[in-house]
This record gives sequence, structure tokens and C-alpha cells, in this order.
Amino acid sequence: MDNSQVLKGVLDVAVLSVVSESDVYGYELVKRLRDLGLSEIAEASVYGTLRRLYNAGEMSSYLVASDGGPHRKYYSLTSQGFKSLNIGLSDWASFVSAMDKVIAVAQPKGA
Amino acid sequence: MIMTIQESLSSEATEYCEDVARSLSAVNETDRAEMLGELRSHLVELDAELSGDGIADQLGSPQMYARELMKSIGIEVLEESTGASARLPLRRRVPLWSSQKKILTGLLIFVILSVVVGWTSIVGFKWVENRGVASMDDYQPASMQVVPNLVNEPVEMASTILIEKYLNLCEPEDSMTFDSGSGLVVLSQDIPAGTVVDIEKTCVKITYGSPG
Repeated sequence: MDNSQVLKGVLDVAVLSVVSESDVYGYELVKRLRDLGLSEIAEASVYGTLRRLYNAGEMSSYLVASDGGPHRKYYSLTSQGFKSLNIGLSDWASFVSAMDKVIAVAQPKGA
Repeated sequence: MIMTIQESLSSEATEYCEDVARSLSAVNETDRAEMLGELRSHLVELDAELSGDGIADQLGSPQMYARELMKSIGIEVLEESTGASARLPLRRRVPLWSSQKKILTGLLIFVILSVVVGWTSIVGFKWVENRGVASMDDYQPASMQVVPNLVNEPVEMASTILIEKYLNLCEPEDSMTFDSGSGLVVLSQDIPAGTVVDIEKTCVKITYGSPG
């Protein structure tokens, strides 16, 4: 199954969820999302989503010095970001619940 | 040791960033600068992990990367291809760049380049012959450029370094000119080195003084 289209619809919730766990910088966020199973996620989608959520006031950022490399920009959720996350999680739960009912009526051939 | 992003980037990574910057023309200046900064940081981290694969193999082509960025921040982008695979980097798909495709593409590019170079040589020769020496005014630099580092450079060299990038120094208030060997150096610049800027809208302001 091509997950890329599904991902587009839920990327905001995925990003908000990971950032709510702990503050992260972009590269770390991409790796974390992949480690959690979203292996097909594109870097540009993650960075674009971060920027959009930042512009919407759902994230704040700060720079942290890194040994032997450039400063890293960490992102954290604002109170507005936490509200959006709660709404997103609720919407997702409703969607999964509905889809569970829909696919329960499926009659796969050969089953 | 703390390094600047620019110092940490390979030439391939710098070129990739410049190509992405050129493809982000529809994005406002603030977002573009921020996203390019993030990309440079990402490439610094990625460089440490690359094992023979090129950056484009990891992230997709610069144009594809820019298109995905714009879509993610809500800018409508005309799709060049409707296939889902066209939007993903090679590493996470069935390899498009098989050996056969690489060879065929290489041959095609070689043939096209040969034709173009041949044609350009003939036309160019005739043009120069008709016109005399070509003027540098006919050369159009890329509109986006990476601001070079000026800090610790002799102040009289600042303008020269910028001109090489088609950038300008903001006119000093006292319009002071500097003699070579003045001993003064650039202490700071208002636009950090590594920032990608529009050359037509940008001048770089510096402060200068004695070193140390």
C-alpha cells in the first residue's frame, strides 16, 4: 500500500505527537518518525510541516549549541499546539473507529 | 570546536542548497531563509551518515525537495508527475535509477550536450565575430546567492568578496574608502554567512575596526 497519500492527511498529528513527547530538532524528528514506523516519510514534508505549524503558532523554537557542528534548532509545542494535538488525536480516533466498522464488512475474495 | 554551517557543508551539499533555493521562488523571504537553514543543518547531519549515496539519492532532486516543501507549507504546486513515486527520494522506493537507466540517461545527456555544445560554438563564434569582444553586461548571474563570510577579512577586501557573488556592500555612512593594508578588518556582518539572499534586494552591512 502506498502510504504517502495517507501520511499527508495525518502528518500534522504525527509531528505534534512526537514533539509533545520531547523537544526535537528537525533531523532528529525525521529519524524518530521513521523509527516509529513512518519509514516512507519525506524530509521535505516534515520540514515544511514544522514551518507551517511554527507559523500557525503551534510551535516555538530555540537554538542549542552542538559539539563539533552548527547550532541545532529545537522545536517545542506551545499551548496552542497541545490543543491542536488533542483535537487531532480525537479526530484520528474517530476516523480509525469508523474505518474499523467499514472494513469489518469487507468480504475478501478467497477468504 | 564550534563550526558554522557553511564550514561544515560539502560542496555537493552547498550546491544542493543553492538549487533548492532557486526552486523556492514562490516562498516568502523569511520562510525561505528558515527552511534553507533547516536544510543546511539537515545536510550537515546527513553528511556524517552518507555511505556512498549522493544527497539526491537520499532527499530526491532539489526541485522535488523544494516542491514537497512548498506543498507542505500550503503553497499550490503544479505537479510535473502524478505518480506517487515521483515525490519520494530514491532511497525509499523501488530504485528508479537502475544501471540500465543510468547508462541510457548518460548516453542521452552526452548526445544532447554534444549537439548543444557544437551548436553553441558555431553560433557563439559567429556572434563574437560580428560583434567583437563579448561584454560582461550580457551575463546574467543567478538571482539568489549565498552570502560569503566577511568577518576577519581585511575591510578593503569586503567589497571585492561580495562583488564576486554579485552582491553589494551597503554604502557606509561616511562613504569612507580604504587603502590596501589599512590594517582594519571586518568585525561583523548583518547578514550571516551562508544565508541565501536575492541579490537585487540585498546589501550587506558591515562593522569594521582593528583586529583583536
